[in-house]
Amino acid sequence: MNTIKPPILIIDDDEVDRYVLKRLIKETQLPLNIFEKKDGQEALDFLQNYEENKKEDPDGFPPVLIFLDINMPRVNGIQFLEEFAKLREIIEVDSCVVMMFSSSAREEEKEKIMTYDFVKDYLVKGSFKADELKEKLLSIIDFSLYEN
Amino acid sequence: MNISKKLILIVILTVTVASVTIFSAFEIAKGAKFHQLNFLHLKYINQLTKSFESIRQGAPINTNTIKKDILVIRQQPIECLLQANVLNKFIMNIINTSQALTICKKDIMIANTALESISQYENSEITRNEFITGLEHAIYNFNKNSNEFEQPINKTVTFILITLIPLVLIISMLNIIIISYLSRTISSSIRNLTILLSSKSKDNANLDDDLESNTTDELKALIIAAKQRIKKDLLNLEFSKELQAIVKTQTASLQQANDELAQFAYRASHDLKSPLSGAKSLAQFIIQDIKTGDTDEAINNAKKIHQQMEKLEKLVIDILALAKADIGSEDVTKIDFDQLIVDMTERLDWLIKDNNCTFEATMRLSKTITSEKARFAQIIENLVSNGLKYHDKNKASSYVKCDIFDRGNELIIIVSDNGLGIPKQYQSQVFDMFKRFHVDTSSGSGIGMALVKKHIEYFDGEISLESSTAGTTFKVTLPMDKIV
Ligand SMILES: Nc1ncnc2c1ncn2[C@@H]1O[C@H](COP(=O)(O)OP(=O)(O)OP(=O)(O)O)[C@@H](O)[C@H]1O
Ligand SMILES: [Mg+2]
Repeated sequence: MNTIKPPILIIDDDEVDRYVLKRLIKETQLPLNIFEKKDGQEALDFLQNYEENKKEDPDGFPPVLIFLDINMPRVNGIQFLEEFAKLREIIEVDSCVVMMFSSSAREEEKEKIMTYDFVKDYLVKGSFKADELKEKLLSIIDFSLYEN
Repeated sequence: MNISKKLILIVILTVTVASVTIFSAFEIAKGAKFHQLNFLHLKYINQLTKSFESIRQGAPINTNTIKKDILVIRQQPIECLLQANVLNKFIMNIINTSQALTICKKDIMIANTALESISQYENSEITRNEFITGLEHAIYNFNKNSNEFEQPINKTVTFILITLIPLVLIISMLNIIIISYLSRTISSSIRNLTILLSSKSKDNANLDDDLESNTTDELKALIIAAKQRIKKDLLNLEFSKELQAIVKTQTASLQQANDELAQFAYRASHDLKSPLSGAKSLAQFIIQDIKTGDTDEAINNAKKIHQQMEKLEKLVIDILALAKADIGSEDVTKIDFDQLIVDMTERLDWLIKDNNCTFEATMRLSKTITSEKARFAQIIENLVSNGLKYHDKNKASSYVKCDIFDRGNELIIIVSDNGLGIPKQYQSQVFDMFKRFHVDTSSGSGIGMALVKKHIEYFDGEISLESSTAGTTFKVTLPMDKIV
């Protein structure tokens, strides 16, 4: 039996929002290894600790997909994208893409988000169902790589 | 004497000197004219003598030529008499040279007699010989007169020269002296004034006194006019500067208010929407859970919905309070701070107990405060609830203290705790809306401190904070006269 699941990361300060997303992911019945971080800073710390995390979990790190909220304390979604863009030049997270996950965004924020080519999609909280999510996940993650 | 009178005097003196000089020049030129006339006179006499010689040697008498000659001879004494004006005659009388004019008159008479004898000859009333004798006599007299004319004229001309030239010189000298004196007084009064004005500014009254005693009428008038003008201009300048400053600050504060409002609208709608969308999804999950018979999960989710709704309710109440904070209320009552604290402690009781904190309030007020009670309740409750919420679990005992007292004309509220503290880099953002720095420790809408700030600004008061890992102290200072 295959134990290696594609790792994904949810960055959101709202516990309920994280629960809702996790539950929808569960409904898609796609095998995913979910990490959760409560704001941009925590997530950056987690990603910056690349070497150690990789050693500990060679197959489950780094995440292939990040669900990113915008409004968060300390480091918000936009600030995270800035830092993450820099981080991508140092560590091997090329295969990692971002899917925005927020209830609303301002125009200027949307413009900023669009400048990053590793941001693949924009999900509006509470406006999608499990099957839509499944489609999006399948288009981003190549599950065949994990089946052996 | 004021400056303009001095200037008029200078002009008059200058004009006088100029006219005396010009007059003298004319007079001196007149002397030359007299000599010239006498020279001409002699020339014409000579001409007549030549014609006369040829007649005496037997040539026929051409009466016309002779008449013409005599007429031109008569012309010079006539002109001479015309030239001499009253002043000349007066001078000539004094220096005894008036015989020159008598000579002129005589010459004219001689010429007239000669002319008469010509017409007598033409009418054959006299003989050729008689005519010749008469003419010879006339020529003799002409010559004699011409010689005698030189002497008095010379004397007169010399006199004019020796009197007028020194006179002109003396008047010019005087003129120079007076003008330089006057101009010196003018420039010195201007210089004095300049010195007075450029001297280090003493107090104004002093300067006014100095101006009063040291300046002439016109300069004083000039200074007064200049002073008024400068004052007016300064006033205008100040006024327009003030206006510009007002416009600038107004624009800036409008811009800030606008930005704040936009930020607020965005955050408020986001924060209002997020518990709603959460609840919406949760409700759907409950349906599924019930369908699949997972009642535990259904109950969990129902609890989550309940929490979301409580969060939403608090947010709505906070936003309403914030909106109301900008508007003055009619609801002014005597504030019983003891009762206010008792009511608040009741509301925060669960927080105090949950967090294992002690809360203590002291009040020292010398007078009763009459104001909008709701604002005071909100200021105190938000500060105290923060102290309780952000307590430090790692400290042996947690406390929050609240001191309310008046000092002079100020009401002071101090709330201090030994909680987590606010990191230095975030301290400037504590009063910003929706800014939260201890998300893991406690929930909240991030509006409390913004609301506190709004109330304090409404009363024209001030709030300051001191914070470290040892705890936080907020100090609110409200001016008494603005409270009511
Ligand atoms: N006494 C305090 N000790 C430590 N941190 C504090 C204190 N007071 C305020 N803070 C920090 O400032 C932030 C803003 O406070 P504010 O009261 O505006 O919001 P809140 O408490 O998070 O939410 P609420 O609107 O429900 O009060 C808090 O989230 C907290 O991080
Ligand atoms: Mg608070």
